[in-house]
Amino acid sequence: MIDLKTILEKKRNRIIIRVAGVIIGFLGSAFIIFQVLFLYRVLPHGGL
Amino acid sequence: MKKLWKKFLPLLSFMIPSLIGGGLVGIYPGYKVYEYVWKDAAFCTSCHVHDYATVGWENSSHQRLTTCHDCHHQPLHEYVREMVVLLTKNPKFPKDLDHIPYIPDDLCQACHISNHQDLSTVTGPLDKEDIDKLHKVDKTKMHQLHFQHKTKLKLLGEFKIKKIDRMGDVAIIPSNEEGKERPITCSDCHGGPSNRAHNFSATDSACVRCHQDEHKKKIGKEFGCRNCHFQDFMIPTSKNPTK
Repeated sequence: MIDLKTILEKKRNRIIIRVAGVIIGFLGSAFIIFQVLFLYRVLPHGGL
Repeated sequence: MKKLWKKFLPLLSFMIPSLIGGGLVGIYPGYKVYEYVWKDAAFCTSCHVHDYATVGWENSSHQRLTTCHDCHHQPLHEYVREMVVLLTKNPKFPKDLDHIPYIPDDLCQACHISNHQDLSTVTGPLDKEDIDKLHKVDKTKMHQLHFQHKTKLKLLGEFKIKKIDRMGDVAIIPSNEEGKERPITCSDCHGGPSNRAHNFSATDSACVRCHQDEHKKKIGKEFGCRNCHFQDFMIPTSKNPTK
């Protein structure tokens, strides 16, 4: 198990994890929103 | 898998607030990307460099009221195939355009027929209220008359363009080749010459495909069909004095 306490002891690690979280969340939600809207438009006209 | 999950769970829990924060911020750009891909013709024309079609669309009334995806639909797997074709065998216009563009009626009907239920094809800048205000062809005498009749002419989609004809700058007019009897479609009159895509004005050449025996005298040749008959396609049925 990753020892979170040890990792988070360093301020630099905390920042890196938070920034990574923001980037992953940002890209993930942008991709999902795009995909959902795109499929909503494409699927009714010819399906897969 | 369980072990791995246990290993990263604390890290993920620590990340959750930033994931949510990033996710919320990502909604807007995600929507903007969709809007650009689906609703902005600039996205399509960055790859689809087809001079006649783009110029034809830009000069038509459709340019301000529609985008590419209002009419151009295809199944999901075709988007993947398109990307592969673009990379492996990029088609060149006009030498690789071997067919006459054919538009199924339901695409036109979404905007140009009154009380049309299926507006799912329309994604452009027009609201439903705006679509309701558009000219409805089922309410005009001559359009109605054409819808009630049938023709034996082949559908535009059934014509293939010979290689030698594709390269010329001369408009390609579909022949009078006959097939099975079928209802008259929008494309029969509004398809335009085949290599002038997105030119949806009804041309005299479309009238002549069926009405070649009319007005053989000087008047027909000099004035064409639309100078006299155009208004009958526009006047609403109820207000038509000839009714």
